[in-house]
Amino acid sequence: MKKSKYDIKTKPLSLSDKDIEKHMDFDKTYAHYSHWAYRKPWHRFQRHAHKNNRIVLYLILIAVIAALVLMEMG
Amino acid sequence: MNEQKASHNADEVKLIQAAQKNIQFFRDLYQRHYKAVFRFVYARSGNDEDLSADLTQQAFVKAMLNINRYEYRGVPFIAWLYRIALNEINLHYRNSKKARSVSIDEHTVKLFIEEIDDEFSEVKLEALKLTMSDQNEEVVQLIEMRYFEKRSFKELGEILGISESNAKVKVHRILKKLKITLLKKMQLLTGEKK
Repeated sequence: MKKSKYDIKTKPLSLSDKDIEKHMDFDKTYAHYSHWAYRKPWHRFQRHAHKNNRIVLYLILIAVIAALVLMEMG
Repeated sequence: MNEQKASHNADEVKLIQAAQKNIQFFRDLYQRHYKAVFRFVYARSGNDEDLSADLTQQAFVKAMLNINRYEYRGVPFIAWLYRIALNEINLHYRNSKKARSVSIDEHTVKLFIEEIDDEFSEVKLEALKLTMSDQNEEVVQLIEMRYFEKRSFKELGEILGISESNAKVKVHRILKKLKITLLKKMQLLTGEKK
């Protein structure tokens, strides 16, 4: 007999709000989020990209000036 | 009523913007939508409470990781959460190679069968189960949300990322096809019983 792709339940159970509230834990979810969001320095940088924009701009500016100075000296 | 809805949406947009600036503010969105997302997952995970809790948590983690990409375009935030939860459910069942659960309560299934084929009978219910088990994921999702969860076409479109009219057309076509398949399965079942 062909295996069904779905398990069809005609008498599904329903949960009360209290039963669901037992599983509600933002701090646990936040801990999982932090694990993924900050797993490497690069990910940390990405998370705060909007704060780092100015630093990145300064770094590019310094690199360009350094390149120009080096070219002038050479 | 519309004013109330508009103020609710404005309130939600503020919460989203706050969460985009500081993820700790996601707590309010989490508390607001957790139960609805949990129920959505629970109906699709074979009424397994622990699995539903895991998948719901995973869905919220994904939502938090991608909240900066979210743009409010008039679609309720919960629809975005449902879409993420649906992807998590599909991923789980694809990886575990188990059959995904479809919850249909007896009352709604009767109404559904009456809509496509006049009267309800036990044979028709068996035929519907057989018919559903052959369908692809998109068909099952549409039928499940439209008939067994009583969602509007607008909601359907929002969750599946299609327009309201497209959702209507799809459901109409699916019903047409389903009716033919259901009749065939019924003939098969009644033939077998004879």
